[in-house]
Amino acid sequence: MKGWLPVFKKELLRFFKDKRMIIGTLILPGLLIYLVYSFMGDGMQGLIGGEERAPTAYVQDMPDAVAPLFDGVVETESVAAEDAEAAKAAVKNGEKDLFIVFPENFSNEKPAESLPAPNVEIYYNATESNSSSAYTLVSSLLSEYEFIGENKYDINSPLSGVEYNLATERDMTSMIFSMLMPMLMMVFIFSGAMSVAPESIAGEKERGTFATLLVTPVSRAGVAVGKIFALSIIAVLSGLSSFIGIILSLPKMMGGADVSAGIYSAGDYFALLGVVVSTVLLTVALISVVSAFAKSVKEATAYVTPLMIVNVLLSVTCMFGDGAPASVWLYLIPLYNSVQSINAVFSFSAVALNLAVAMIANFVYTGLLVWLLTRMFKSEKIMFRR
Amino acid sequence: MQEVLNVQGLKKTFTLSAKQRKIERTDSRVKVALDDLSFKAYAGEVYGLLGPNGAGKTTCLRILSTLIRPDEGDAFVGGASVVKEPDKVRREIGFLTSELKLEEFFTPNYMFDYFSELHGIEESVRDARKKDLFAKFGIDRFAEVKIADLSTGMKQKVSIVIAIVHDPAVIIFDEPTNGLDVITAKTVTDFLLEQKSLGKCVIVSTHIFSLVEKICDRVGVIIDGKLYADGALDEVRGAMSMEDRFFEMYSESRRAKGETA
Repeated sequence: MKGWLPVFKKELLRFFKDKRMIIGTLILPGLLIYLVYSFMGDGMQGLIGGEERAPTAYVQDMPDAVAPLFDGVVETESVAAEDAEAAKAAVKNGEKDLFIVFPENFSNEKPAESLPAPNVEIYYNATESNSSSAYTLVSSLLSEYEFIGENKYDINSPLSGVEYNLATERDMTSMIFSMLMPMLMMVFIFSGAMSVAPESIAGEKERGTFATLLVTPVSRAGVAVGKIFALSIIAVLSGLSSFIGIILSLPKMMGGADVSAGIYSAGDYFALLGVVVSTVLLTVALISVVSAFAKSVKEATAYVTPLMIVNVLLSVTCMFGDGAPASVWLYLIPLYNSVQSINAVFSFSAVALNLAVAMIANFVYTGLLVWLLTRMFKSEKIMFRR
Repeated sequence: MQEVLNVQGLKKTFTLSAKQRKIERTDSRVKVALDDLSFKAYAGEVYGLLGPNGAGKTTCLRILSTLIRPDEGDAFVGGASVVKEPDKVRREIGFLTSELKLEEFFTPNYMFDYFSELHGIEESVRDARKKDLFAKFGIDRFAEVKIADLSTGMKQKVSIVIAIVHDPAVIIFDEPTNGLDVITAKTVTDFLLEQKSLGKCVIVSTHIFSLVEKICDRVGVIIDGKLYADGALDEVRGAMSMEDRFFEMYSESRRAKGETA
């Protein structure tokens, strides 16, 4: 390992003295994610909430029994049968949201077998979002009215005033976090590592600066360790930038729902840190080995892409299935173990043994990859391939 | 004279890809780059490896600098084997070739410190050596300029200085004056002669005859990976100029190849 420190310092200096690298790797990812997600959040809320105004409708022959249903929900205005065409035109050009025509003798009593059910006609304009949401609202109101007529049973009747959803804020947060965070964190760690490792290893090979390093007495293991440590720090910072972007835009994404990271204890965060550190080291070591094999940065990026897809596929496993698996053996599978460990921490179902196995496994794999990288640095076929 | 470098029967072959076989117009899957190459070099002399492009000069120097390993044979630098003790060899040699580049993002000053640290040189020694070498090559004015912004000649000077941060006993320069203007080239040759006078063993590879005649004490002529001649400059060239003698040897080698083919 002799000589790892100068290599480590040089790698960090190479990064932190380069304004373009700092902007491109540390500032832009977080900023872009924040802006894009906030914009998406605002857009979604605009789509769902829109302007806060009650839908407006022309109604024809509305029975008195139905009127209370619409009170305070839909602003109604009666029209006579002869003005029907004018009312339809008003819906068409967006002046009113709906035009509702009730049949004669409308009631929610079951009609005699031989007669067809009375038909309520609701004219709407599907290209107007206010009109189509008003259509959905009125249809559900009338369906409800239809059922009240039969009234076999109600489910969670809003009239009861009882909160039936027993999930607490803690449960809601942990559900959202344990689904989102493993994937986001794994993807950010990977993209952070990918933004620096190929450049530092395949790039140096390509530019001929690696050979200069190899004629000095610094040990190959020292070069491998120095680079992996430095690149891991940069990858963590880059991942952190994206992560902060996500966390800051989360309130807007969730549309003001109460989601707070404060429900997790220091112990949870500590466990998370351990998992993240071991994952970053493993990811950087993996990309470094691939980069050392490649002849150029371009080639390295091409080789790393399939790995990135595998990483994403493993990351989404936490969105399916029933929480983190209990079997300790599964925590020996690299990357998958990280996904499930992060999932377990965020869903309050972490088992200390499983997390420890995942972390130790990652450290062991990293050690093996460092050994492999050292062997590769010694191989003239790999380092001086043309 | 103290023997510093002992090259014993170096052999190196490279496998050729289908494309390379087409370019070289051969059916052979291997190219013999070095074929039983042996020579010695001593402290306080400049030894020149002379040969046409593709003769094996650079391959030989890359083996001596431990970047690649020979298939057979060995070479000893100050008694250390390039095959078995590459770490020891790296401490003893300063290697310069156009293939080795410096990270252009950094300044000569930082690069000097970085490579000194890699060689484990104490700060006080490093600073004194830096001051001396930077002044000698006129780098001092550009010490804080990014290498990317330096001229070709200045870059080459910085490369030379970085190659010898550790004051090595053996200096191996591959085509040291290639691409340099006459003034910079002279700085380099003067420096090599000065190193020789300080008792260093200097190995240069080149195809520039005037350079050989100017600075080399002894020469080895490599053609097709074989050493055709090895000895003191005057012994090798006889009464001819080195250039004429070289062409004579080259024609001989072609005839020999024609007969055996």
